[in-house]
Amino acid sequence: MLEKELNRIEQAPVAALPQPVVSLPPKRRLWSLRTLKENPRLIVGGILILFIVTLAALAPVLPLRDPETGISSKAYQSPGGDYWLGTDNVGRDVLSRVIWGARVSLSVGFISVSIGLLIGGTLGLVAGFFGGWVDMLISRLIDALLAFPALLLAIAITAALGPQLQNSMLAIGIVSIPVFARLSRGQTLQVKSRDYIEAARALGLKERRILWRHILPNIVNILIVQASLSIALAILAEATLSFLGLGAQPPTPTWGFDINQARGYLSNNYWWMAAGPGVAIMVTIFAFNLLGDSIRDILDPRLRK
Amino acid sequence: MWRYVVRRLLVTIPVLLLVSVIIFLLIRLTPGDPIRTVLGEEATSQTVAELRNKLGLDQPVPVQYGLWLSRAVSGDLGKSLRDGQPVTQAVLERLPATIELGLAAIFFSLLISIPLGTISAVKRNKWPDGVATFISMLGICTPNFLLGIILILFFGYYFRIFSPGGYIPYDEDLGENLKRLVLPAITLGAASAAVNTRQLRSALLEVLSQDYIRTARAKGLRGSWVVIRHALKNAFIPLVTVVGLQLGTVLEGAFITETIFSWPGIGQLAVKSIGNRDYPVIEGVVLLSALIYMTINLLVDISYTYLDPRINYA
Repeated sequence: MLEKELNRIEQAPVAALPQPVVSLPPKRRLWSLRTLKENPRLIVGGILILFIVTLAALAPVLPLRDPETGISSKAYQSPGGDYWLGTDNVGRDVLSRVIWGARVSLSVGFISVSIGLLIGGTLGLVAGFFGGWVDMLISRLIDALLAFPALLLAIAITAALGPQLQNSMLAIGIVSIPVFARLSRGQTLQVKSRDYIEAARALGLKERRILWRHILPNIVNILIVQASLSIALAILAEATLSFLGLGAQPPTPTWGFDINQARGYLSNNYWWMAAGPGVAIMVTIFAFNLLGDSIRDILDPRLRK
Repeated sequence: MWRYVVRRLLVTIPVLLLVSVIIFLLIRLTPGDPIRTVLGEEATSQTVAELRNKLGLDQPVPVQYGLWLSRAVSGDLGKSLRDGQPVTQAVLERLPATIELGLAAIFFSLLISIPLGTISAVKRNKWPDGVATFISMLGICTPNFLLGIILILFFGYYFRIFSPGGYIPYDEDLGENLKRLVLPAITLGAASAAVNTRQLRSALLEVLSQDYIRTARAKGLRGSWVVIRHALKNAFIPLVTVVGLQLGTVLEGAFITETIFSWPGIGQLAVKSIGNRDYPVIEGVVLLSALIYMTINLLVDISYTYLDPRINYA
């Protein structure tokens, strides 16, 4: 009788094992109509991001002036007329530079967070799952990365590798590894102790299969929430690096570099040179924060009031 | 608790070693030859070789690391490639200006966040809460370099109330020193003020829903007295932690703020050294910042045990 039952369990499809979802409560979909109705912040953040991403994506086909070359006779034009946001010190259109600059900011935001998510998430998963010396080694490495103030480490890495767009992406990506690693390790430890993982082990499933098929799907939600929050930080970090001249190099338009450029003309009252990129940074960070916060509230039922 | 402190200190040692390896390798990974950068392209290969030998850069990398680490432990972080000044001396000379700015920034952030967070929680979901939320959102979304520039534009050039930059040591002219401190301190403290406001609001809301607050109100105590005497005291515990951790954030923010306001602290020194590719100085500042940051984190961790005796680290 017992033997028969054991056979039945062994032959049962793994997917049929109970798999409680850690963060996402059942029947709660992120993009359902009800969720959207209950969370105006999600809608506002989402629409703003959609608007910025669309503008950035369409920059090559929009009727914009060349963002990199200016007309010297048109320098220092105040906003209005032909130049909605004015022109800079070499006669380049500020509006055009702001829209083209969005491409740089967004790509750094997405790529660097993906680097952090992939490397950090995997490190945390492996550390939490295998424990022992693997965990100790990875945890100490993460501690060492956390021993630096994040932005300072990003500055040091970019300064060492050379001021370039790719290097700033890599630097911001490396700096965001610890957040994802810690989160993923903690979540893995929690999920690992659940009964259904024990059951999967008892069935003789391979470690690798348990890791990828049973643990990863249960921690991925929370990692995505963190990623949406981290994008705002990554965009801020990119702006800071390019403000210091460590991001994409001129004449490539970047918001941070353009604001730094405008700094030299403040005493002449050419405020619009900084206003365009400044408002762009603030709106973008606001939108990603709004989106990240609302996704977190929806996925984490404890925070829902 | 002492066992916890000792264990925490012991864990710090390998982390410190790893930190030193990261810093050392970072600089050695740098493309291009720092010696050539310092001496210029026209330097003869003999001069280059002599300086390389003098600085020990012709040794194998592990040997270089060993030498660098043994010197660093005794406080010798090498000399600036630009002006030959010992790095430790350069950093220590500039540290007081950074500390002054950092403390002023934290002070500003508390000055704003305590009243704003309290009003926000007490008037929850009413218009004062909305205004406070808007202000703190603005603080979170504004990069400090942008805020610095806005402040310089308005208060430095339009109204001419404050100087747009520069530093006067406090032992020379305290009044002028404080006047020049205002704008950089606001710039550096604004983001922390925003975070603290949100933190205090949620901590206060949590405390205000507790039974002992209802009891205090039921006893007939005035509303403001209940908030100040009973609620704020308990809501401060999470705030203390956040402020402690913010000291590290302030340190990195100082890099930008000091550059914008020509404030002669270690942040400005680092940014200048990056431009000059003066690696010993960059190494020194990064190492010192990491040390300060780790010490702060350690103290914050240990202070938990005092603030909340329920936390057990045994």
